[in-house]
Amino acid sequence: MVRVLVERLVGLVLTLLVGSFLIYGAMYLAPGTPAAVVAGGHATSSELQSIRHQLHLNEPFFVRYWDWLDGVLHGNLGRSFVYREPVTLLLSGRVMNTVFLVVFAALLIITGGVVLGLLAALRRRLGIVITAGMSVGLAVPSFVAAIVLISVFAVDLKWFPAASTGTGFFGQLHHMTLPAIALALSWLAFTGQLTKAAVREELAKDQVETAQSRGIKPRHVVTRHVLRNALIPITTVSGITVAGLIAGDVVVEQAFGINGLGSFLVQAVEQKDFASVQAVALILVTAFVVVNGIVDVGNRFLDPRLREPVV
Amino acid sequence: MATAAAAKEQLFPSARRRRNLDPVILAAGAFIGVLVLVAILAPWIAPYNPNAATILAANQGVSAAHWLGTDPTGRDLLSRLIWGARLSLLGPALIVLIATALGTVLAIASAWIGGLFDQLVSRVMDLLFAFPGLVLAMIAVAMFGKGLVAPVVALSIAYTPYITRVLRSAASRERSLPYVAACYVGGVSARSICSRHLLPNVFPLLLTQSTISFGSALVTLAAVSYLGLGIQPPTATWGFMVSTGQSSILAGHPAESLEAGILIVVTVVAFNLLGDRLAGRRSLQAL
Amino acid sequence: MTLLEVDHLSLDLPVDREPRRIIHDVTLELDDGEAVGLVGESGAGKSMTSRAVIRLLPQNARIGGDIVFDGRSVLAMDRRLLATYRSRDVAMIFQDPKSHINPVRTVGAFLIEALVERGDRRADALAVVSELLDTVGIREIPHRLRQYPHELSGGMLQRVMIAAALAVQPRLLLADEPTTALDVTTQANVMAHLDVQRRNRGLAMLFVTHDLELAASVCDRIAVMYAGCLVEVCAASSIHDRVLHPYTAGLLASRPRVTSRTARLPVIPGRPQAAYELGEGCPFLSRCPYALDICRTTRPELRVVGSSRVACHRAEELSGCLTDGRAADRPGVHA
Repeated sequence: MVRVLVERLVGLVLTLLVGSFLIYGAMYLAPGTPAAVVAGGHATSSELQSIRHQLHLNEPFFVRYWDWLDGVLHGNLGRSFVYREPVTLLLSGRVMNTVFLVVFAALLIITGGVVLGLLAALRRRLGIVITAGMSVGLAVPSFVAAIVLISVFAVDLKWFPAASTGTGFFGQLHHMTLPAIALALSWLAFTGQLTKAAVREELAKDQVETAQSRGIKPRHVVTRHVLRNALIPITTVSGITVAGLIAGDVVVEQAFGINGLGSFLVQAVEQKDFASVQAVALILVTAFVVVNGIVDVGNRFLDPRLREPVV
Repeated sequence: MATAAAAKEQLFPSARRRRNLDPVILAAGAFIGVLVLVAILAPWIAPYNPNAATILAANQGVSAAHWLGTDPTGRDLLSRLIWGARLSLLGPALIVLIATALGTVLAIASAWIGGLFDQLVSRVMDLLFAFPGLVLAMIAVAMFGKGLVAPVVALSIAYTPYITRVLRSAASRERSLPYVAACYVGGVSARSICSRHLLPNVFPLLLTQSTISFGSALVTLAAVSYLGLGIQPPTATWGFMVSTGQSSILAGHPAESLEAGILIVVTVVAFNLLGDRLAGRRSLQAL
Repeated sequence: MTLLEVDHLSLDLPVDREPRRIIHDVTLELDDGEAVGLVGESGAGKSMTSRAVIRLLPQNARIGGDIVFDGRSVLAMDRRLLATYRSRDVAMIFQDPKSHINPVRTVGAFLIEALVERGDRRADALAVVSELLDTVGIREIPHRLRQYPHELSGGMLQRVMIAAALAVQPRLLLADEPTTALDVTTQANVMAHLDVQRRNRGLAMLFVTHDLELAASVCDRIAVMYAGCLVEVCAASSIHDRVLHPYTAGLLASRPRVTSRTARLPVIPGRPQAAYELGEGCPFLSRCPYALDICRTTRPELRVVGSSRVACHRAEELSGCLTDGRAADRPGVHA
């Protein structure tokens, strides 16, 4: 088990290292120099030269990458070319909004997806309705869900605000409800379908027959011998969901005007603010890799057969 | 005659079912076919110029003149949706085409060559998995600017690992079958074993995987447009229409966003259904 | 005293929406403490019969007749009574312990589950199962309890299943081919443990197997099934010298013997019939060397002949000629 953990950790660090190299390298290769972006359209060549010097743009690539990486490891994500401020500072007020939104959506996905999937697998009539709903839900992109939710619940019914972020935990909760639903919807349907398939598969297995033959209550048969086992395939593919949440977050923040990492990334891309794009891309990729690593290790705990090779 | 048919049904119960096409495949396929036809014939069937603003006709509801209403500048929404179908479908088609071509070559080469090459390919694919498609597309836009090209190239790369992973395992399973070794020993060249045996055997899976990827690519590319990083106005795409229509929602005119949104959803449902049926409902294995 | 009565049991399972008969009119009773071997080829309906006793059948199965346990109809039980019946009165040992024990829960959790479910304290339950594991020959018990099924061998796992079945102190054991999935060398060991424990506790057992010889060695009576029908019920001790049904005789003859060498084992001609394929007559008709016209038209009822019960029109005539499987006069018996 320890060996597996160490292996995973090394793999994770390597992935992040190569990922950071790619992100930095991409910006380096981009046509249009950062100096021109910083100086604006009408700079003279001597002005450009001094900016290049300021930003260490004259150094060789690997030196600059190393400086950047060193900074990143010390919590310095570089300076925004556009705002002329440290990216870390620009992000500090935004990170929590994003985390709140993504965690909220993740909780909706886990609970809603598993419950709906279970019902779809166990209940005959209700199952048909849920399954049909999930097939449609799966195809609803977050931004389409966003506009429908805004138009129904914010504009017509006025239950929830259409934009901005709230104050305090419950204020946040109120403001984030529609965004979280928009972000969660298609992944909730995905998880639901997966759960349904996994539960159906486990229901047909022999261990269920054993439990039934021993007079175990149906409720316990489902939780101990069906759901418990079905969680393994569900978590195995949850990496795709995590990637979807990270990408969807960008869109949903934009749709609801939430001041988070995603909307900041969109701005940075529009303004060609390379340092900010690098920083946010790195954060998103790191989040994905780390969460996936945790899921992978968690899966080993769920499935004893994966913990160590049989001797 | 009737008895012969009955006897055949008894002996080969699936024979009749196989001949009758699945109605779901038929419906989804027909919808996609019509959509493609509409996109191709846009100049001839769109009732209005999609970019002609008529300020007097702003925000009109559904009428005989404007079947799906108009946007805040009075442009005919039906015409914009029809023209929008072109780039909204062309983009994902290119992505799937490139990703499938790349993924198939990599998968079959990995399965055939094996060893270090195989490991290298799967490491690179693992790495690419760490970049969500949309993030990769945004990096590409930051590098090369807005438009169709940068996101399409980025998403082609982002979808390649999904194709590669599934096809590689199928191809290497096929490669390990004795007949492949028999061909090889019999002097058949590697290239022709790959193209005549491995490729045809993974083809059904390839078809399924690219069909499912199409829906997903359509959504991601529409998201890029929605964020304003794709094709620039006034050219219509469905994703961008959802975003431009959003400002009218608060004013009580959700038509533009909703119509474009519904069209995206229905199209994706059609592709997903088609993919599911082709996969024979092996939902877990397909992942 | 009669513990279990299977009374004119019939079972239909829909295949492509058409009901197919799996079991035809099976009547069998088990006394308290008695072991009955239910023998037949695969598909003969023996496994389904044992599952019917515990009502462990596919949801769309249609059952006819009745199953009475200790005076109560199992088929008429409501949910609560059925749960009590399953958790206290009967226990089933399945064929493949590797798939029938949940792979993601510990061996200990499996063993005590039924006890805790019916209200025993965990500690008491652990004490009970630990003692039982010891009696079925498992050592290092605390360690075993914490292990997962994949870490135990098949034979050990089947002994765990036996211990789990005994733990609830049932009055009837249902053993569905308990040794078929195991290595030949461990089969005998597991079977011995099961036999000893059953005898010591005086438990009744319905032992489902395709191995006539094995059944005869651990059971008091043998019930032979063919194509969903019960064709013969006799004392285990008489199996070698007073078999009455041609099918049972065929089964006996087609076994290899250690004591004599034959160039080729005799086989029963034809292929096994499926229960739903049966016509009017005797289920064994198409493979029986002794078939007469009456066998074609009338299905023989199970009736008492000597000390056995047999479903064969010619049982009296054939009595005595069958036991030597290679009866030279086989074709000549035609009347």
